[in-house]
This record gives sequence, structure tokens and C-alpha cells, in this order.
Amino acid sequence: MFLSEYLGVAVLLILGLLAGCGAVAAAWLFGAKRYYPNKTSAYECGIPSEGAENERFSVRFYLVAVSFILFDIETIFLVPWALGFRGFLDNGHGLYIWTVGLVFLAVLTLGLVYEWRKGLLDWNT
Amino acid sequence: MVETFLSNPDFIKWAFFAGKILLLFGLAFGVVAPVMIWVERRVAGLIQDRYGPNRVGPFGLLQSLADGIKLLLKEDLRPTEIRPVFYLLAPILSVIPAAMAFAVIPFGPPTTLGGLLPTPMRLQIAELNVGLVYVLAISSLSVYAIALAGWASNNKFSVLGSLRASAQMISYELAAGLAIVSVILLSGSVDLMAIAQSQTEMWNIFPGFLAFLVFLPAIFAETNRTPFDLPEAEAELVVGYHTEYSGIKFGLFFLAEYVNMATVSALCILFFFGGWEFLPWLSWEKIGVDLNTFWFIPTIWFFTKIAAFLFFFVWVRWTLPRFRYDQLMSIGWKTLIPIALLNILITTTYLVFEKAS
Amino acid sequence: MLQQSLFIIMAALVLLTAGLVAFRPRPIESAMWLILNFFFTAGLYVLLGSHFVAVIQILVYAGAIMVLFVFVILLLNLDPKELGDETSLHWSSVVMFVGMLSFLLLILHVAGPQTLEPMEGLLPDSKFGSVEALAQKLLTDYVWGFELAGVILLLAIVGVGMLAYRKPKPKTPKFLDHQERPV
Repeated sequence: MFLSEYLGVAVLLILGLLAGCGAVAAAWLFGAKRYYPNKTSAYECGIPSEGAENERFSVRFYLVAVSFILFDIETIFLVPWALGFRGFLDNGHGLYIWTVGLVFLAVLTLGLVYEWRKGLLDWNT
Repeated sequence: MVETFLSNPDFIKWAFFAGKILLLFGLAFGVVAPVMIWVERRVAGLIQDRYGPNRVGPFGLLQSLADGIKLLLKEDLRPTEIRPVFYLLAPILSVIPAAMAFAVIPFGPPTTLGGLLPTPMRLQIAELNVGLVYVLAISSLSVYAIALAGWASNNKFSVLGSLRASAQMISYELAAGLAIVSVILLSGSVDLMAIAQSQTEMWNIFPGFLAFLVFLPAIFAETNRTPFDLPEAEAELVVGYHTEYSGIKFGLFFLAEYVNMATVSALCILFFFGGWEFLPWLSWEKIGVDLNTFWFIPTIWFFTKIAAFLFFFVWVRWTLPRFRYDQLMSIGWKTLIPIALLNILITTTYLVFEKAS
Repeated sequence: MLQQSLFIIMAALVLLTAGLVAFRPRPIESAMWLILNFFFTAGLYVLLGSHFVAVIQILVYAGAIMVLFVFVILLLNLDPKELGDETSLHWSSVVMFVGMLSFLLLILHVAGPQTLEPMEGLLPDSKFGSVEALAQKLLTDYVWGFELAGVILLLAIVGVGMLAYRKPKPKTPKFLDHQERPV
């Protein structure tokens, strides 16, 4: 694979950046700026803001993020396994590769079941 | 002398590259988004037994242009409570992954463009051999725009909406990733071009039907479309994470959402519906279409399939009610991930049987 | 030549963003610079020919771990006034430091012998950093490591469970027995 393949990625990144910045700049250039307190205060269905600014949020968001990391890494490990599966199958080592994958999947399914049973996947997440 | 310059292979290579980028970027950001806005509103009208926009231009076709101009000229609202840098950064951060994601999507078989090019070249902006994982990586970056947008708005509803949207997106990314693992099992490659080319005999939807059933809700949730659009539902959270955005900054979120929809539809078609192949059991070569002269036919067919998929997105939006947030999360974790894991097992069994027969 | 200049640019950017992570006052800004840092590190991996590792760097680090960091920072929602106005080090001194370091590296590179050989991993048809090559190695030589990685992930899941488990509170009934329920 050529190193220059990433040039396309870089160009698209820059084009996206330009489009975004251009749009924001256009808003700044063309948009009116008639601010008054009613308009610029935080929107809460038209009524003045009530309630504390910094509310406490549930820890379940953190749990979702951590579980996501762990299962994402599992998916990453499964990608080379899936890629090599056919090759091993054709070489006659199908049972070996299948067992390797099965053990890995079983270990992680155990993790999922553990989270499920502990109630970490409930209500919010 | 001009002929020698124009037929210089380096120039042709770079001209092709520039042409690919401009064409695809222009299509994605200049055609898909405006057309989708029009399609969305007209099809909504169709399903709801009313007219959609039909005043601006014939059949309301210029409505998107009018909307774009309106968004550009709207007031540049900066609420007092926002955190300025991140407020402006979030829309840009939502456009960048949308723009980068379709770099690796092939739009047709390698072609010489009917003789213009000296050797067959791929219709892919970046021919990465890890294309599939690249797409996963770029889609996982789209979470930041939402998280920052809500937080920067400093509005309680926005923060809550953005957190919920982010949690939803990352949960369904897992399901999508596991469904993709079974596609890799079936196609035997991580290069998107090879995945499309492995489906000339039979589309992946037949052995990978369960994977498709997992992947489809996952992509609906990834793009925050109904029935998974609680984070941006108007009645629930006052538009959620983009409450405080107006004008073109809101337009950027919208644009990124539609481009993401198109990218993810293209991916779904590449994975399960044979990419640019004609019918599940017939490829273009089998029919006898000469792909050297008629090189554009697979590409046009691919775009047709993407259009059909986008119509399906809109159709589902105006048909199904939205899920409640806890239903949404429990579907993602407790239904889709176990089914996807089971499906990997099923797919490996299928592969063993296919080899044995 | 292109490789070497790209390497120097990427390395300088990695150092710069790392410095910015350490020296900026607001945590969310540090998080953003760290994400950028991971992008440039992925660029360094690409220059080594390890394409799969580069993409995984972005997927896991910038796409998953930093999401966790950003979630935590957003959830904590620290008051900017609590964080203090400035750091002990002004950003310009950091930029100057990194600039001098990069300049030093450049001088060393230009003056020193050209020991960088072209990597065979970067030749066009090389299979060096591809997923196939990784799969071959991972599933034959390092298969125990593969399984062990799964077990370590399981341990992490159990750890998360232990961190976050709350005993479910017994539900108090909405209506006590002697109260009248609406019909």
C-alpha cells in the first residue's frame, strides 16, 4: 500500500475543515447580531432558567463509556481472527481457529452476562 | 504539445485523483444534503397524505436552495452562557468525520473509464487495505461533536441530550462492529473493494441475514434517525444537543447527519447487498455487459441502491414512533450485542459447512 | 526524503500537542489536544508502515478512551473559576521549548549520517502492516496472548462492575394498604 493513499484522507480532512470553518465564518459575516437578554439567555421553553447550573449526572454514562471501551477492544481483536478464519479453514486447521475464537468469545460473553446480571446494563444504559 | 501533457501518465493519475475527490465531495455535500432535505419533506408529505413543499420552484425542488440561503443569512446567535470556542468548534467537528468517512468507499469496480486511463484504477479516494477499520474509526469520532455541542451550550437540556445521544451512539457502534466482524468472516477481507468484489456469486445478505438485522438498527441509531432519534426529538428535549444552535451552525449538524446517512447506506450496501452488482445471483459480467465501454453502469446502479436506501431511511422515519431512552439502550446492549455474538458463531458454522460441501 | 520530512513534522506535532495537553489550564482543552496527539501518533505509525495499528490507535484511543475522558470531564462540569486563571507556565514558553527541540532534531538530522534506510514495509506491495499479516502472527505465535487479552478484558469488566455496583433499593409501594387507590 502506498503512503500516498493517505493523501486522499488528508485532502478530505482539509476540505471538511474548510467547509466547516467557511460556514461558521459566513454566519459571522452575514448574520445579524441583534442581541438582547431575552434572546441570548439559555433556552428553556421560554421561561427563565431555573434549577441549579451544575447538576449531578448519573454514573451510568460513565459505565456505558467504560463498557464500550472494553467491548470495542474485543471487536478489534475479533477483526484479525475473522480475517484469518478462512485461511485456516482452507489449510485444514478449521477446528483450531474455531476453538481459539470460541474461547475468546466465550470469555467476553461471560463479561457481558456478568454486566447484565449485575444490573449495569439497566435503565439508562 | 498539449496532447503529450494531457496524456502524461502522472498528470492523468493526479487529474483522476482530483476529479474523484471533487466529484465525491461535491456529490456528498452539494447534492446529497439538499436533495435529501427535499426528499424528506416530500416523502413526509406523501406518507402523511399532504403536500410537501411545492411552492418554491417546480415541485418545490428549489426549497433546499431557499433553505440554505435562509440558514446562511440567519442571525449569528451567541447566547450569553455558551463556552465560545467549543460552541464554534462542535459543528466543524461534526462535519470533519462526515467528510473523511467516505474516503474509502469504492463506487465501482476498477475501471479504465472507457479507455481514458492507461491502467484500471479504483474508484476509491484512498485505497487503504484497512479500509473497513478506518471507517469504524472515523465514525467513532463523530461522538465528540455531539458531546461538545451540548456541553458548550451550557443549557441543562442540551447537556442531557448530548450525553444521551453520545451514550446511544457508542452503544450502537458496538453492535455495528460485531455485525461487521461477521461480514469480514464471510468476505474474507478488510478492504472494502475486496468485500464488494467477493459478492459476485452471491450477496452477503443471504448467509449474513442476521448480521444485516443487527447492522440495520445500528446504523439508524448511529445517525440518530428515527426510531432512535430521542436525543434530537423536539417534543422531548427541545431539540436536544443543538437547541442553542441556529442558522448555518445548525445547518452544519444537519448536513453532517445527511452525509453520514449516505455513507452508512453505502457501507450497508457494500457489506450486504453486493455493492454494485446487478442482482443477487447475477453480476454484470454474467449478463455480458462490457464493463470497459459501459464502465459507468455499476456506479450508477450503486448510486441507485444508495438512493433506495436513503428513501428507506426517510420512510422509516415517518412510519415508526420513537423509542424511549431506556428501551433504546436496552435494545442496544441486551438484544443487538447478544444476537451479533450469536451470529458470529452461526457464520463460522456456515463457513465450515460451505467448505465441507 | 518525503518520509523523513513527514516524520519530523509528525514528531514535532506530537511533541507540541503533548506539551499543550500538559500546560493548558482547562481540562476539556487538554482532552482535545490529546485527541489531536493521538492522530499524529497514528501518523507516526503510518510512517512505520503499520497501517492497522494506526487505524486502531484512532479507533480505540481517540474514539473510545478519549470519549470516556471527555464524558468524565463534561460530567464533572468544573467551574472555570475553580481551575484558576493561568498555569504556572505560559503557553508561549512551551511552544518555544518544543520549537527549539524540533530545531535541534533537525540540525542533528541534517548534520548526522543518513542512517535511515527505506523501510521495506512502505514499499507498494508490502504486506507488512496489513491486518492479514497481523492475523497470521497473532493466531499462530501469539495465540495465548490473544486469549490472555480476552481474560484481561474480562477482568476489566469485573472491575467496572465492582466499582459501580449499587445495591438496588427496595421499592416502596406507591400506595400503602390503608390508602384509597383511585378507581
